[in-house]
Amino acid sequence: MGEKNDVWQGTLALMALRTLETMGPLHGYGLARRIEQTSGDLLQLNYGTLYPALLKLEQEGYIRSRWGVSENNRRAKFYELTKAGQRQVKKAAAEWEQATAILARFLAPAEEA
Amino acid sequence: MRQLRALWIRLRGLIGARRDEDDFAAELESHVAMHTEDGIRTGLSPTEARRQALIRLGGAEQTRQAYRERHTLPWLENSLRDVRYALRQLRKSPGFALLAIVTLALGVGANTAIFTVIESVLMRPLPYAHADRLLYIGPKIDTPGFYKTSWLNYRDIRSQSRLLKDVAGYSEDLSVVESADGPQNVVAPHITPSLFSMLGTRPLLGRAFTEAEGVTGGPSVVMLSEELWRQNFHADRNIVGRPVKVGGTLHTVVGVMPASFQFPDEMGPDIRKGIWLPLQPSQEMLTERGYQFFSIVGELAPGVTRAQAQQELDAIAAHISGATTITKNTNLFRATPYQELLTGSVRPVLYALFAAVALVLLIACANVSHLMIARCLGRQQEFAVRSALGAGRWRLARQMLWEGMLLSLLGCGAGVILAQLALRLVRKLPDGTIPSADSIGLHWTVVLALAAIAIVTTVLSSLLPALLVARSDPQAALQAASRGVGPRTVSGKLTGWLVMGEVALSTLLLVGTGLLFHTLWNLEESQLGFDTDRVTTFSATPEDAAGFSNMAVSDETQGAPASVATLVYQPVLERIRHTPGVQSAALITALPLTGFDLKSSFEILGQAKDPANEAQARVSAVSSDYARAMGTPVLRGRMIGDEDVSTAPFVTVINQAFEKKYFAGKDPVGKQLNLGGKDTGMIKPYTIIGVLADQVDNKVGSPAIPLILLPQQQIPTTSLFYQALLKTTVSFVVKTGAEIPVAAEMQSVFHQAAPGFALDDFQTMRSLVDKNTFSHKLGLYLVALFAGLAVAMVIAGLYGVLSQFVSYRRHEIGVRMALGASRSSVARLVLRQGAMLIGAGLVAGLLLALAAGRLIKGFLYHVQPLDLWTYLFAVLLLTCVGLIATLIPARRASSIEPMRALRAE
Repeated sequence: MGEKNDVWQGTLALMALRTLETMGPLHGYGLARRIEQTSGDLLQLNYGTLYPALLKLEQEGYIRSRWGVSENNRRAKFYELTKAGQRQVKKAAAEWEQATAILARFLAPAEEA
Repeated sequence: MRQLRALWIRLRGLIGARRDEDDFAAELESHVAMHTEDGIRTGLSPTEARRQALIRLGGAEQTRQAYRERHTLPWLENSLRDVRYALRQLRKSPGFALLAIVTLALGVGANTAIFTVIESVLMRPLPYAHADRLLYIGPKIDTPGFYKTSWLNYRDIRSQSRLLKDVAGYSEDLSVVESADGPQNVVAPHITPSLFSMLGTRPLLGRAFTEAEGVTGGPSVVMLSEELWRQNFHADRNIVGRPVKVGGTLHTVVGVMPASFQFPDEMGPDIRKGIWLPLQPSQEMLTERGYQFFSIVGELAPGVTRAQAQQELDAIAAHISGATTITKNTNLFRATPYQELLTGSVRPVLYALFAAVALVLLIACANVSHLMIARCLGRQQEFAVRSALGAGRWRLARQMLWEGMLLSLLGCGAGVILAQLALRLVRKLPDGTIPSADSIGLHWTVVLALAAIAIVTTVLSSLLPALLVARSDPQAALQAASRGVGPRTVSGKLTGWLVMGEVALSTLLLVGTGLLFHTLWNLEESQLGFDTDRVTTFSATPEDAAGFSNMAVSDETQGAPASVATLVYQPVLERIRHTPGVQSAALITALPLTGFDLKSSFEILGQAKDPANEAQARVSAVSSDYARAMGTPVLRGRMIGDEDVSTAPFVTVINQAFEKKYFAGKDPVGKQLNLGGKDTGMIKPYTIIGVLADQVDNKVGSPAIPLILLPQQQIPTTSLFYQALLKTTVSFVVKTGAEIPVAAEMQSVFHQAAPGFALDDFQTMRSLVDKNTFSHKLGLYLVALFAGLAVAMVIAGLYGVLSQFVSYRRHEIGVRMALGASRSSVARLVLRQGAMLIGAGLVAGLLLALAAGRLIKGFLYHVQPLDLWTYLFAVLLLTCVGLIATLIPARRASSIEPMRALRAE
């Protein structure tokens, strides 16, 4: 096992949504860094994959984007959650929790026969 | 829903792709810039920081591509690119594209249009509820026809039949209707009330006849046709319930029938402005089984076959003749589908048509396929290059697929437009040119089926060479030496089969076309039996026209009333003959092609009667001068003249068909005919004094029916024939010295001599003939057009295929010549190969044509399916086309400079 993990398929979208929910509007770079920080630097994001994922979320109507100015006075595109996005975070989080809980039962050391 | 929304946005993304890409580039740039700044902050050099940022991004170009793919729909974009490429390719070779599209358009469009028109001209499906189950029931006579029977037979069949859902009947008649505009001759069939419910046509106004109106002594009521109602009663919506004078007595109008109702259809187009009267059986009808002026139609009950109904009718016939089984003396009935009797059996024609449609389509597809294949082979090198550059097989095939698809879609689209335009033109033709042209609609099923076949073949033929090319090793194709296409390669064999197939198909079509053309020619040249030049005809109807249904044999022979022939027609004819410009004039009751027709049974005195086959002939009254006015030759004896008055010995003239049928080889002059004796009131027999050449009767092109001509003054006024022939609508023929209109003079003659007569139907004999032959001729012209179209396509295709075949071998020929082959031997080689292919194709085609000839037999007139001239013509034409198509390229091949052919291609 490497020191840093790649992002599992399908989880990047949820991570991005969740990050946007807690942090408010963010630009792409900021979002990527924030995801890495939240993972305790355990995840190594290929930044290139983030943008198609964001585009997909935007096409699905969960986030919207607009151009703004960054903290360093740089023009950047900011992403923020829409109402549908907020609902989606809750729904996806619940599903994910359920999935991990189920998986956890399988992975837990066998207690009894 | 989310997916749909995303798809929609991606589809939209296809359009604004450029702007969005700039937007994304800016976003990426800002991302990299921020990342670089962070890197610098951690102590990296600006260059190193930027490098790291780009590495973490995973490559700017790759990211951009991933983004692009997500942004739009890549497969759609690729397809669009293919389509654009295919369009460009087609634009680059407009000749090829145009040829393919036109071929397909003709194959699909013209094909459908012609098919649709022919079908509606030939089939003329009857607009009745169960037209397919409608039977005509008449006495069993060797040739099918609308033979009449008696009302008593109708009554018995109706009461005894279980397999017929209903039985109805009618008797044909003529009458005069008086409106504010004056008297009008009309056909006036008497019909049983049950007919309306059986045919299922609703009246436009009012109601149909009730059962109570269809009995002896029932009320005087009448139903009008839409056309008569519009023309003579000014479409008066209050006509129902009003009295109208019909045949001199007042009748109450109970209803108006729509124009689509033209029953009985065998009475011809006159029924369109006719009237219908309820059948109220007369005393003769109720008592005389020999009183045969009645037509019966029956509707098969659901699930019953014609054979079953026929069996039942045989049993009823036996029952009527007082026996339990059929004996020699049983007068049998025959049930024939009404439609078949009316239009002849159309099934073989329909099959022939389908075959022709299929053939034309096949040829169109073969032509297009060949075009595609030839094009692909020409582009072999291009494919090899692209394949070498890494294009996948599927990618190449897909591109060809799009080209084929595009071509076939364009072709079929053009075809549908063509068909629509053609049908619009047909509808614009003057009224009556094509029967019920307004109702001819495009056969969408036919169009779509043809288009589907065309698309599949085109796409397949575009795909096949692409796969062939893709499968082959690009290396080989890239090397100049292996560029030729020899006869033994896959593509060479394919082309060979195509040549043979096209020759076979063309043979089949040429033979078919030849047979039809020959028929057309025969029809054009068919013997009318009379001159049409400067002959005008018109009809006259006495005010008190009797009508067949009220006929009765009068018992008094003494003090019989004077004949209208002597009182009116003879003096009128005298006056007409003295009118300036008139050369001769005559009266005839059964003028050829008018549909006025009376058939009667007869006996030849001294000849045994054949009980199984009752002798029947058309009977017509005629005045003197008829043969002269019509220009028909008298073959034996003399024609009826002015001396044959009522007091002179009774004489008759028969036609050639009569002589052939009943006096085979013997001289009929002097023999005597008995026309029914007491039953009909024709007590005295008639002595044959002459034989007149055959004239066409009701249809140009059908064989003449035996005819008995009686002097108009020798028909006893007490007989049935007097009322059926003379006391009703009669025709006059007037031969003039020059092309002059005679209507006004004739009107004035009648006005002076016989004011009560209604004159109508003024027309020249020529127009009568033209009208009669029109639908048949039109059908044939259309079929010929059809075949001509196909033949033109075949010739073009054949030439293309053969010349292409030779040009594939340019390289090989160059090698041969470089190795020492002479020019003539090269030409021979090419010719031999072409001849072999053509020969094989011809043989296959002739065999096919022999088999198919039987199909169109029913459509031929005086032409055998094995017509030698047609076959010779087809073989000669194809050999010529084939040879020319090989000779030109053979010459070109033999003039090839070997070095040039080897070096460059």
